[in-house]
Amino acid sequence: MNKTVFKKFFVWEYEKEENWLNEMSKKGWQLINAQLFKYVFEKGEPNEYDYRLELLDNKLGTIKSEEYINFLKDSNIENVGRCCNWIYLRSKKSEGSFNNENKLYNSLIKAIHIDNLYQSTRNIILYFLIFSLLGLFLCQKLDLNINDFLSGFLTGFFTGTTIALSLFSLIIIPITNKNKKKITEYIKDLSVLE
Amino acid sequence: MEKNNIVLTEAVFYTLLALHQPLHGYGIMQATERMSNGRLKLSAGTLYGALSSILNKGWIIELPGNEGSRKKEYKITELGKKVVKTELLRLAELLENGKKIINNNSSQFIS
Repeated sequence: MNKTVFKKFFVWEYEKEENWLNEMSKKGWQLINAQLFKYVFEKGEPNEYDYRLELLDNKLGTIKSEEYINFLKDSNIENVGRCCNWIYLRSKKSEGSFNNENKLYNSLIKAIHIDNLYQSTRNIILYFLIFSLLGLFLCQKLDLNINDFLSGFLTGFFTGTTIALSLFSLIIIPITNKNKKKITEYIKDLSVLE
Repeated sequence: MEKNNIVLTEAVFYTLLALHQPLHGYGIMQATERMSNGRLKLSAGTLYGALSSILNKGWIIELPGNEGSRKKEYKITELGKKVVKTELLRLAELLENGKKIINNNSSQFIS
């Protein structure tokens, strides 16, 4: 018996998402497929699997990523779904493959991968913002020989995108900083413990 | 090479020991668990990172794959063996100093 659940998690809610998948596993619902906002569960034994979310290094190419997933498979860790660079992993609780993990090291790697993701997002926003501002500037300063409707539309459009992008940056900056703080904490711990 | 200052992680140290014979990833995990009497169980993620990093350093090599097998086998290089030997000297020093202080119970090394 399968059931499909639609649920949304934002990128920074990956811990919440992971917890939710493990809660579902406790109730006997085992994730067998995941896509954007869409989760397919299969009825199985309660607590049969442990679930983990991992963000692949975006510097790894497709072949390297496949190689990594194969490597995991050899140590009894199964890849059940993928959404962009996020992979959904599971392992039988009885085999305990996730229990061996060096938690500090893994948390650090995860935080660094997420930081990379935030940085590329921030760069894209910046490019668009510059583009919008430039557009706005041109609409204002240059006497475009076009009709009033079009120039009004363009001014409105560029004002809109500028405001939207600025608001988005306001949201993403504190999240990025929070993650950066996490990285610093992990590195401090690593100077004492392996 | 900066071999005088290298401190290996447990995972890398055991991986290099295990690779004195050709092994694939899962083989390394099993060998490490056996050698450490079940104390050290490497996780796949950690091992994958460690392998690619010491491959880059030239401490191990990837063996040409057998046909039909997607599992890669690795083996230690001469350079890798040297790194292990240097690390052993460092570990011996740690052990010796630790024993001196803890066992003698004398304060001559502390002040």
